[in-house]
Amino acid sequence: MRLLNKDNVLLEVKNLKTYIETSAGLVKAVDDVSFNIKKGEIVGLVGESGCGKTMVALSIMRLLPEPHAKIIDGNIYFNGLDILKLSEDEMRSIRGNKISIVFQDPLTALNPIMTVGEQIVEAILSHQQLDKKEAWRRAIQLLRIVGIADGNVIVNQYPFRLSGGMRQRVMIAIALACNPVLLIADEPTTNLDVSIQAQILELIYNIRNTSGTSVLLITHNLGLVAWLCDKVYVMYAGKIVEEGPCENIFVNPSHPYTKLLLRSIPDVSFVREKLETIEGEVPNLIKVPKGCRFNPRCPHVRDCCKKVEPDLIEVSANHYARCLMWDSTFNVEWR
Amino acid sequence: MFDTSENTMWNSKKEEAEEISVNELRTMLLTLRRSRTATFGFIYVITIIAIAILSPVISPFDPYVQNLSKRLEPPSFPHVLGLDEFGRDVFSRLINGATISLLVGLEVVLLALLIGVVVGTVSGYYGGKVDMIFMRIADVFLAFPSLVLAIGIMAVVGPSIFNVVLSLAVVTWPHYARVIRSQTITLKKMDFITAAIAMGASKKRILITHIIPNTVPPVIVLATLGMGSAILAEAGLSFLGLGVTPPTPSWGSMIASGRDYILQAPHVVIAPGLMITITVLAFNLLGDGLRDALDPRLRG
Repeated sequence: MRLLNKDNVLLEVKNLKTYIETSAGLVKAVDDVSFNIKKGEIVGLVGESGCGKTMVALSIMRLLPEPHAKIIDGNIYFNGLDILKLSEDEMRSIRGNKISIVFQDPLTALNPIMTVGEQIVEAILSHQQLDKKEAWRRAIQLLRIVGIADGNVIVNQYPFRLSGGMRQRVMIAIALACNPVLLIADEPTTNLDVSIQAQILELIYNIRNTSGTSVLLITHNLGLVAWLCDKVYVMYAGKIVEEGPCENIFVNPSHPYTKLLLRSIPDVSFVREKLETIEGEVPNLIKVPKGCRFNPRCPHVRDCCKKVEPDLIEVSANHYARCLMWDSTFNVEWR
Repeated sequence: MFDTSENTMWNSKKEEAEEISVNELRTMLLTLRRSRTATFGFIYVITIIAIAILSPVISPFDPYVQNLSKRLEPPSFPHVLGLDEFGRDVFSRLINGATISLLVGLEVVLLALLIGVVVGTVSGYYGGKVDMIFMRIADVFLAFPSLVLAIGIMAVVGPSIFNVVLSLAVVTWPHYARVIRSQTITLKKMDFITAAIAMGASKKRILITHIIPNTVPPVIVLATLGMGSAILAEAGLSFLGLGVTPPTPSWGSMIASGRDYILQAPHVVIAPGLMITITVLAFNLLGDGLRDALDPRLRG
């Protein structure tokens, strides 16, 4: 239905369904999600906590906590290769080599009893044939690339001696160890100070510009995505509710959820009495609301929203929204 | 794609990276020195090992030569710790007995640890049926009073030092396996393990470089405690006549043979008894210190 330049697409996720079995019932964490990332593109995946963003990332890496979480249906093509059909060994040669991931919490994602250098060297040697000296040299180089100038000192440090921002830089250095073509950053700045956040994002931006690495940036902060991403997917309750080029999403948000997300970004240049929030919370993904999933929280809800589940509807060129107001068969007005 | 120009600065630091393991050892010893009790344990253990190795040279008398006319003589000048029931020099026997007691202690712990690490990590990491089978076997061993089991094994295989080591290792490995298994289970759910998998590390690599080293701190304490109890158990087995065969001296067998004369000549029993107590204590103190020294987070 959408026109894709097949040659340029690095990662294509098609109708991905990842469900988690819990004692309370089946959680449809990722429910029919499709998106693609082109070479050299930074793509944002935005949504509140608990709407399935991390499950998308883990599905791509095939790191789901099995047997509870499983990919039920769908395809993930990486460079035209169906990742879901690969053997565990083949997958291992892709992980960290072609696709790398940076986790949310740099505090716990580093081995506490190995020095930073040892961990970077391990990552390098797991996919590259280098001798040890060469690998250590590369480790210090990587630290310099991620903005740690005194890399030759830091390599001998243990993670607990470093600040949060430093650790996240080290994580990114590890992720870059084998020059991946796709970097997945799962909320890379959530646990960091605001000033450090900007530095880390700038780093990701520079990495893309210098090495052409595609980035999937997962975040709940639409503000971050604004200047960084080329394309944005907004996710709500396991589904993509809006997608399009970054400018379009910001200038012309076409789903009430996106609109509310944008309004709930703190902005100092703009004096407001109270920061707006979105009423309610992400629905329990075991029993999703009938009709539009956002209907219990939507300020513009109409009767039809509770009955009909909307499709992604083209709003403008390459800009889609999953809201009935764009469907001409219903007469919904919310603006 | 990334710049490779600034290599000169690195060259001077190249050796530094290679010396990591040496530095590591130095930091460890420095940390160890900060604790007075650990320093005592360390120095004592080094000394006792040196004495055990040098025993043939430094012992003042032959530990096997009997002098029945002077039997059970209390401590006096040339025989500083007196003579035993056959008129043998207690001090010399004590020094020579250290070899056996320490060897048994070390070997038992190493052997039990080897089994425990393999069973514990495999069981904890893979879980499922493997875990079930290994842990039920461990439970069978744990359900038995360990000394009774060791005595039983010794009764079958016959008394010898090697058999003492074997039977004690067989009865103690489940303790290590249990601790290592539970550590492994906690560790494998941690983010850095997931991160390592995400970096493309193989299962073998994760076990060897990430999981096993992280189980070391709790295990080292257990191992030094185990060292103490292995020395005690050897003493117990020798006391019952199942350990080393006379006239070979070991601390346990010295107590065993001296017990009949405990009222007439208490020095025969007190000397090896004290050695066992102090040695076990020293190993425990060293173990505590080592745990702190091996964990970079506790080094401060």
